[in-house]
Amino acid sequence: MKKTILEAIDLSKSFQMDETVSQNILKNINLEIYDKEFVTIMGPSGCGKSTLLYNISGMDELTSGKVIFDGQVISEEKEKKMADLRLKKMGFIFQQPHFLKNLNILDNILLPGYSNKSENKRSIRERGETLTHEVGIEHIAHKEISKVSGGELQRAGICRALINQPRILFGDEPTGALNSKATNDVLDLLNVIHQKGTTILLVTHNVKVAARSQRVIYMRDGMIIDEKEISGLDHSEEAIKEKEMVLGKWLINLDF
Amino acid sequence: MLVKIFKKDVKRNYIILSILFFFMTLSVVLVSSGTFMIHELYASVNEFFEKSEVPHVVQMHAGTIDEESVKAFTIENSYVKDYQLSKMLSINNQEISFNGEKLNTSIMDLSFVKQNKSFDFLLDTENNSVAIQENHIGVPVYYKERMNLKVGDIVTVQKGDNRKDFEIQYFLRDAQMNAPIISSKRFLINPLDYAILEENNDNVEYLIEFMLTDTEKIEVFKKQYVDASLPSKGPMVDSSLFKIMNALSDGIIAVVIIFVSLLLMAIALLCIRFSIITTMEEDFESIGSMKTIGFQYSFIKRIYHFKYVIISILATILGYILSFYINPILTRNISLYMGSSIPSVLSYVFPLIGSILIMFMMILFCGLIINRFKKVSPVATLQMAKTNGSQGNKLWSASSLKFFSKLPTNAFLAMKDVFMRSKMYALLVLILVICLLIVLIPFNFLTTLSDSSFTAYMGIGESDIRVDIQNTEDGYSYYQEVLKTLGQDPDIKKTSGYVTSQYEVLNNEGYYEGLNIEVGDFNDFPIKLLKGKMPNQQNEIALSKLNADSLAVDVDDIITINSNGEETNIKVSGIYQDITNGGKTAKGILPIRKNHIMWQTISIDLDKSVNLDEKIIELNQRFPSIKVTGIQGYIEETFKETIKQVTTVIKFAITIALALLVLITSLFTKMIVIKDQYEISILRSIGLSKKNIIIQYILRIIMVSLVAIVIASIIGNTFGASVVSLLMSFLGASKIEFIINPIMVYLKIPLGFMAVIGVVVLIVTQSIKNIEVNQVFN
Repeated sequence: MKKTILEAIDLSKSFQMDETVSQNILKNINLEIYDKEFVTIMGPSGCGKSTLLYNISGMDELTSGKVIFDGQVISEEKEKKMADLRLKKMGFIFQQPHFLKNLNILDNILLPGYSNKSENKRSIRERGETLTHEVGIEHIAHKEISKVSGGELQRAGICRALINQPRILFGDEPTGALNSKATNDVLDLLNVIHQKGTTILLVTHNVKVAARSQRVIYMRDGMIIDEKEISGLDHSEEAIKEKEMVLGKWLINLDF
Repeated sequence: MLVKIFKKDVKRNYIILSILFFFMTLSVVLVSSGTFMIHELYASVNEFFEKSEVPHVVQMHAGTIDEESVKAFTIENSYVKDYQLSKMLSINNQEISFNGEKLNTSIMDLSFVKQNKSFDFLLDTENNSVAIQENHIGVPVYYKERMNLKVGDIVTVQKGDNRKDFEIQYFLRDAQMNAPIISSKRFLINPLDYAILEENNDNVEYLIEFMLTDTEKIEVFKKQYVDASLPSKGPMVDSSLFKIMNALSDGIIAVVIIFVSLLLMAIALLCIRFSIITTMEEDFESIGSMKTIGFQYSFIKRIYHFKYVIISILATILGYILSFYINPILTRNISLYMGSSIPSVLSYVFPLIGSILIMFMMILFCGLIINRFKKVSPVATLQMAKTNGSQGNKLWSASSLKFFSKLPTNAFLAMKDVFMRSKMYALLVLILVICLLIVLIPFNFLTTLSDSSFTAYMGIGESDIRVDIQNTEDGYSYYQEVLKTLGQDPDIKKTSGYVTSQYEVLNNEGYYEGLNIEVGDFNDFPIKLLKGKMPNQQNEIALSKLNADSLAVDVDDIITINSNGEETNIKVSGIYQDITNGGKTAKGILPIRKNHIMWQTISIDLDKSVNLDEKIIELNQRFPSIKVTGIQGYIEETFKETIKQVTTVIKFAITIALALLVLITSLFTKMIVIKDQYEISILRSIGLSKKNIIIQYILRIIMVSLVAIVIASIIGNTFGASVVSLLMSFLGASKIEFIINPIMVYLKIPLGFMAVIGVVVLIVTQSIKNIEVNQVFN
């Protein structure tokens, strides 16, 4: 029996352009993400997929509707509680890995861990160093962020997102700024993380990224139009290519 | 289009621009007011002196006078246009009361006079020469303020059983004795009342006054008078000194106001610099794009400069107008003591010139700052945009959470930021140091001034009690009698008497000039010297600093004194500081010049078991015709006005410093929060709450404040004393050492400042709540 970890009920989001005009970005979205699932959201530019991601992860305030995370209605929670939730139960990977320029790579990774007072700093540090080893960036852990490549930085961003062992990992175009090799490295990493039991929800316009997931949700004009299951844990090159083809046909039918 | 950009900018950054506008306006207000005050002071003094017909030279003389010798001298001297003898009846402080209230602890020398016939007129508050009716009196404006008097109040003179009541008819302005710092005051009475008082009063002083044909010859005339051995039991003063004394305290205030204005302008410019650089760094991408497209830098400059030009112009207009509301407050003292000057165009022109100068300085400065980015290439500008401006401190960039894991995370991030962006925080440190110094220096000065050890700068030793005996006909024998009586008093541990007489010293221009020398034994109540030692054998002398400088002598040099027609070489044994009596005193061991005694003093130390206040009352009752004061009271009374003014300055300084602190901290914090929106979004996205982020900002600013407090304490206690010494050196004290009140200076004042800063940062950083987590990432 699938357990729902994240749910959006009649979620709407609009922006006030001026005193009289408002723009509806999301229109009555209903969405369920199951525990340990790997889901991607796709759609044309401006369809509202990033907005949906930020609203469903508590980074933005809804205009109306509800978001329930792990049985808790988080859309009505106060800022302090939401921050705590983001720190302890969620991880976020951005297209540009936004790091603090005052800290080196390892410190940026450890920072959320040290802020999470429910664990001692030593175990956080050990986990951080392990993560850098697992993703293959232990050799740049003490460098400044301006001295490393985009791919290394994005892998560091993944480490930071995982430092507190979150229930769910969000990603907004995590491979958008990477070359193809770096993209594959990051995607392989995400699959490993997923296999270890972390729920993943990504936003992407890249079919290669979507092909790594189990379910793809398609959005247009602020609404969910369709979704497709492409489950399978075979991540071999052939299997992935086949999934890409299936997805491609599906997207063509949706006028992507 | 520039106006459109300006309007949008104002709407977006109205808090920051308001604070900058405020500083600029305040700076203009103060420059305009300070300039107005200087002009007003100059004009008022001149007009007042013209109306009063102030004498060019005045020789004070205590005791009987050979009028004929003076008259003969005057007739023969071609420099004299007119002269008069103004007789003053000296009244003891204890003999006079205002509405029943006595002046027990006053050290003022009070005299009753008739209105002069030829010149040196005492004026009313309309600057008219007055005639007093019988049973009425004209009272110096000094007492109007001090005793809160009004026309119609009663002044009583009681000497023994003889009592006379006077009704106040006028309040007087006295060109010679107006200023609060002058310790003599003249009361004007009707000639008939004067005659009655004269019968019971033989304590007389004369003002031998001269109007000269040529004011350039004042020094020559003074020498001729001295050479003629005419009555001279008192100081000789000329009109330039009267002007200085009248203008001194308001002049100092005007200079201080202009200084504060320049300081505020410097602060405003530093803030503008910070604001411009921060804004332009935020806009690097736009600037880079404009440069790449091909816009001239002059066009780009205009976009940023226009805003500050408009603000400068508006601030100047507003500041200039506002200054006219403040001017009456600042010139209140001038109006009261000398009268307002006749309005003229210059009253408007000088402040306007000052204001416009400030405006041009601000506009020019802004232009220079904006030109900073002129030579940066388009590509470099875009690259700077990517790396978000400055790189930070490389040394601190290596420090790691790993090594500082014992620190709370917020504290570590705060500390790291302060060190990485130390150049930016340096501005805040500088301003905090200035704010603290504005308070600490006058506060330290007040603590020093109020301490009994301040006697070190008054040319007197530290004793429990001081007795002042004015010289009269038999003053010297009375003094000896009092000294002998006190020496036999079992309550008194030790006494020492000093007689001050006028001698003549050969100056370095080759002629003799007057020198008051205090003669006595200085072993019992030694004074603190700048160099050398007190005289302890015959024909040795210690000089005040101003006297030593004036005579161009140092320790071990020889000066020639003329005493009773004999020239004697005296060795300078030491130099000390003295701000009393114009700073020109001397202490020596040589024969007393009995015919030229000015005054006598006695220093007393009591037995420890004796109550000081009770003994002072007892001695005052025993010897009603002398002044007996505790040394602390003597200092307080001597510097009563100064202490009052410094206390007012401190209150004013605290207000200004706190206002500056609040405004600058607000401005700075606001700018940093705007600059750090990106970093704040990152921290929020990884799960740090707004509270954590606000705590980091408070910690950063507190850390910076601690640095400022340490620097300000060091400067305030060392350099501050030097600044005060420099100002006081003109009065005779060139090496002031501050007495510090450690609880106030190291604890209460700094904690108070930090509390204010903490509250301001807490309030300003509430705007962090408005920064959406994802707004920077989209």
